Amino acid sequence: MSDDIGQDDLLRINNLNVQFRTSEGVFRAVRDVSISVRSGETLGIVGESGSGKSVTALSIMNLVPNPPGETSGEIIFNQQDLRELSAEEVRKIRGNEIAMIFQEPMTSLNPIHTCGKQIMEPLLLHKGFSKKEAKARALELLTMVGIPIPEQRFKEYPHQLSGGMRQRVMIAMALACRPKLLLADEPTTALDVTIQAQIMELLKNLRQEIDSAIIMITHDLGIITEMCDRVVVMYAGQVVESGPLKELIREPLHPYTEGLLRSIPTITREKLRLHTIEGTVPSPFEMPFGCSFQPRCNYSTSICSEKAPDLIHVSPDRAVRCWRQVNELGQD
Amino acid sequence: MGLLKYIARRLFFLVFLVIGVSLVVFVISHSVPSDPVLANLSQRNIDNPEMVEAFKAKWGMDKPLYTQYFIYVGNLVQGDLGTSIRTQRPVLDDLQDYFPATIELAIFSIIIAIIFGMLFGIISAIKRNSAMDQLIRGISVLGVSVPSFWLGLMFLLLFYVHFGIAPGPGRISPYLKPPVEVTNLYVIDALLAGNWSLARDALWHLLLPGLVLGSFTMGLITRTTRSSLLEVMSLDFIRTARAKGLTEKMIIMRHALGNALIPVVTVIGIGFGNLLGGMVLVETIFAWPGIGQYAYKAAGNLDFPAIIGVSILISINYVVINLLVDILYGILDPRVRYH
Repeated sequence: MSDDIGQDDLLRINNLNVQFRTSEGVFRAVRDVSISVRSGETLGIVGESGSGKSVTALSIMNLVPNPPGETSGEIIFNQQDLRELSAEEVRKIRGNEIAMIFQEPMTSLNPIHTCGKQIMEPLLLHKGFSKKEAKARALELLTMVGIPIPEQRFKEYPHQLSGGMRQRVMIAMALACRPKLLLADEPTTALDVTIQAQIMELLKNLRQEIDSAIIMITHDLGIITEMCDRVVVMYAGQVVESGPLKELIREPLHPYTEGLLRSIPTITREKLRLHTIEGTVPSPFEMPFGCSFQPRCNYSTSICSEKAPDLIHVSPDRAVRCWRQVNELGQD
Repeated sequence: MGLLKYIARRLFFLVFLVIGVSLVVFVISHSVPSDPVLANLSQRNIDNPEMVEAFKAKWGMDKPLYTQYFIYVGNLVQGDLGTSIRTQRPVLDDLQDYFPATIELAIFSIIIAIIFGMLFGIISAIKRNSAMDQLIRGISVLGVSVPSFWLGLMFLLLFYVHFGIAPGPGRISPYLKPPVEVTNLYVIDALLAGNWSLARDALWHLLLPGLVLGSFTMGLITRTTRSSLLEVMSLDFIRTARAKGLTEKMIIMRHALGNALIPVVTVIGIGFGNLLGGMVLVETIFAWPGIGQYAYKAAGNLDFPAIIGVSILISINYVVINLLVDILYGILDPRVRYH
């Protein structure tokens, strides 16, 4: 089932399931997801709201609230299963070897502490820095993320900064301990378009400077094409397709990926209307029988509504969850 | 700089508040369907028209009401609160004598209420829905809803009369002499005099009335701390703190509590005001020689200058406490700025 890539994976998620027990019923947010990330690589996870991409990221950090969340599966980081470790051991990895940037820079910083204090915190906690060392490193980080007059910003509170500046502070904070893996959960979604571009530019440049692997979670395929090496497409809590960026763009195998690629606006295309994928994401409480995407799929056949397809490998690097590909492979 | 200006402006408005309060209390106390003559003179003197006239003339009651009020305000702006009909002493002197006992009790109560209220609130929020949480919530509901006169009588009955573990009414044991007057707060004065046993005795006497008086505020603080902390714990920056790898204890102490305290401070302010209002009952039950008892007796005698004096004193207290609360906001929350 898993992407079999080998032992040099930095992170490898095997058969991850996350479900929430709510008063309306059991909501399976993540269904049997297997993903791997190599050191230094940038992996994009793309999907609509509710596709389970953020929950996947949170479960890597063991941050899914329990209750109501229940998680199962393996999350192997640096050859050890994070789910087997004690809470204390996972805590020492969090913010240190794995760090995370969140979607909402406006609310993700503590309003009553200065930015500097918040950046210093993981350094004091994980690296045993003295206050002086931590401050020096924090100023260095602020400069690195492109904040002008870092000495002044260091002393300021989050409300004195704009959204873009706050996201830069969040990035500085995440990079403080030089993490091996950086999880970026829609880091630009809450920002203005021009600021979005600046933050993307920053992340792209930082990618060369730091040698962290990055998992970039977004609903924006444009961002993925700009900076990812490999892509995982998620739909309704499942991985529907994965593979190297270039191959996936050149030849999407899943109808959903195809639809997503066709809905990217381009200047050259002479169409007035953007392509849309008909229908909406199914309610988590009323999953369609068979393939989850089947009600919206143009290629749907009778088997699609009867039996759910498995994720199959069409090549060592590429996997897809679609009956069309199963049939083609069968014919080969 | 901004802060000093802000305080100065707030205190300036206090002048208008004092005049407003005096007007309201003046009107209300004079509308009571009762006669100060009947309340203050003996039966024989009431039957004597000359005595009644003399009484009225002495206290200015022979003049029209509005004239009486203007005379009062005229004296008020010169810092003269008039003379008490009942004690025949200047009201200001009376207030100076009675207020320290009240303030001592109020401060003791609010400290107890803050310490236990916040402690209970934090435990309750951390151990949410546990038996401990249920117990604390039960206690805080009782604290908020049980009337202080009943609680006071029960405490006296149980801990003083029945078990004999708490001292009886009064500020110190009857066989002890009060400390040399400095602040007129007995605990502080006894400590200043180096008299430890007297300080302990005074503190011990504060316990029952302090608990009774503080129970409402304590319940309020417990509930506010609990709900505020739970709310803050669900915010995004707490998730960030978790993602940094902080321990749960660090998250609560460094990130959650500071933010959760902001609404608690408001409640402490409200609670302190409430405390002064509750004083009348508690002081009467515990024979506490404070402003509450003085107000109670003044009201019984329709002692107008004393009634207005107490009202002004309590309203000034409200203003000062609210001002302190607003200043505290600025310390707790960097987003608050004074203009």
